[in-house]
Amino acid sequence: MNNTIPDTQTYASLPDEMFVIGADDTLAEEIARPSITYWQDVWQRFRKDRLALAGLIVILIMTVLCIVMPLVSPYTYDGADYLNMNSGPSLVHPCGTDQLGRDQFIRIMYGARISLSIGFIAAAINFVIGIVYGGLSGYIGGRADMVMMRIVDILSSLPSLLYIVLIMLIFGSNVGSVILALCFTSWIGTARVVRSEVMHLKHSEYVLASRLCGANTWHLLIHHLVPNAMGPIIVSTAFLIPNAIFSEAFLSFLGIGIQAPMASWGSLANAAIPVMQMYPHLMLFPVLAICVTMFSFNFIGDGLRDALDPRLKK
Amino acid sequence: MLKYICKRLLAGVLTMVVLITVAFFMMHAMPGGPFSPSEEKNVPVEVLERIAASYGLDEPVWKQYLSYWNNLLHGDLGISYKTVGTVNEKISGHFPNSAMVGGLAVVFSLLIGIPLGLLAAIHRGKVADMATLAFATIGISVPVFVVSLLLSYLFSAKLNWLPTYGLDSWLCYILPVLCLSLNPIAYIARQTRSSMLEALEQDYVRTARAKGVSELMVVAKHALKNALTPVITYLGPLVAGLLTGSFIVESRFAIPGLGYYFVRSISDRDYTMIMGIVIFYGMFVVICNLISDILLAIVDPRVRLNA
Repeated sequence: MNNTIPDTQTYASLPDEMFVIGADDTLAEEIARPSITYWQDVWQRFRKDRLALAGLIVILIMTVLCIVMPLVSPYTYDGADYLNMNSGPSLVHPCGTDQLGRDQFIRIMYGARISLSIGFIAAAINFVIGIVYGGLSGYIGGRADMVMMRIVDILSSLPSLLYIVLIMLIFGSNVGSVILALCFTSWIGTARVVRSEVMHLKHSEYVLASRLCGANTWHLLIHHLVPNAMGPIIVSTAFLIPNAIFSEAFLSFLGIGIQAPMASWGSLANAAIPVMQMYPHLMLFPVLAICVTMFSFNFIGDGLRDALDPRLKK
Repeated sequence: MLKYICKRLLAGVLTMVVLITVAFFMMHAMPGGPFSPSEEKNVPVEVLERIAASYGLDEPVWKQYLSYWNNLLHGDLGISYKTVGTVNEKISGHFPNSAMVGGLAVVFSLLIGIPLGLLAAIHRGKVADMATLAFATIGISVPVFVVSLLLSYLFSAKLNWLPTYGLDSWLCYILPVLCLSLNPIAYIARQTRSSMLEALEQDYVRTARAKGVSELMVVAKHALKNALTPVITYLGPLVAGLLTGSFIVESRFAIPGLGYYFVRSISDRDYTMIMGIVIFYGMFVVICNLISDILLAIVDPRVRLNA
């Protein structure tokens, strides 16, 4: 092992005035830097991606704002200021007011509450369903896997608009049914990713070793397979958040999502269409909010993908 | 290869049977019906019941289900409850409009998306790459309804260059096709770029270069063929989705296409129309996926061997 630095006994024959400098073999054993875990390593890579970091900061700011602003603001989402109807952006109303004199800024903040919570909750539900379904399908394999994958194929060929509209009609137009409608099939992508990762990993030596020690299916899945497949799973979940936000905006834009007087970004944009030419600010700010959020989440997703799996970095 | 196609075909038929069953019962689970008293307030209840009975809507759902299958196997999708004419006529009347706009959008997104991705991959890290990535991020992040609003505001309301509605002249196609293809272009460009970069690092590309194959041939013949597999997989659902019409774009630009009538038939509870369009759409998805699977098996022999 230590063939470059001979031990001191080799130098015993050297004259006294000659001695080895700077090759203390105890130093070779010493760890120069503190060791870092996988997640610290991921964070260090993620931190270097400026766009992703900016996206994260924007989302954090937006989250804090949408929680705090409705609590401290003098306006509410349905309270009208009859002296300032259809006013442009001003110090009193930073984003102007709509046809009924409602403060557009606070309505956008309420919309952010809806959009962000739909995004996070839908992603969390998809994360769990995707891991369980994909994990089982990939781990069991064989006939069960075939049947489970056919079910997924059939679900993904259902026209999304059909079941979304049906769910909205049956359960009413509220946040809960929007989330239900969005979660109906969007876990499929995650499930497919988990399945292929698990199929790939289940033949690894450490899984075999664990099984030899008597681990059952759940233990293997939860302690060995899923944690090792976490990178691709998180990436596919990260991209689900903007998808969910986009779908909610789309539904509310169609008029079957969030109902008045509650505001969502999609319904705000929809309400602004008839007056778009006269009061463009009513359209501008909700659309800006949607775009900035979508950009941020997409940047975060890209950054996460590069950080979690450096092999994919292109 | 034949065995592979037969297998996929069988799976497709099974998918259709399940899809029709699920859609049928989901549709009947919707509150209200085509002739429910809560929606037609000006017509006496007795008359509504008579109309419903004449369409066989008073029978138990399972009986309606069986008779629907009977008609379907004879190629008959039934009569539209809320509009004049049969569902077959409606679909064959509206589908060409959707297919024309959607087909142009597919061609346009392939023609722009693949070269953009290629360009970005070849000039990795240069201006062309950065511009493509920026464009792709915009295309993925900005929702279709925002794009359609902005484009119709800019080109129709402000500049007055392009019409905002109808399909009367070729000018009318420009805006809807642009709106429909922005997202696919972004996706295809990104996908082509990343798989192209991967392909260019492969051993067979190095071998080809070492043999003295020209750079053009290396890119066009060796790398591109392998880089296109993810694009082909994406093409199946894309073609099905675009050709059968997008509700947002069709209602924004007043195009009488399937997507628009689908949403209208759902809110009208026009049962036969909903089923007709769902079946048509499902068939389309299954066939498109089948074609993209076969294409994939032709391009990538590994798929054939694994099946």
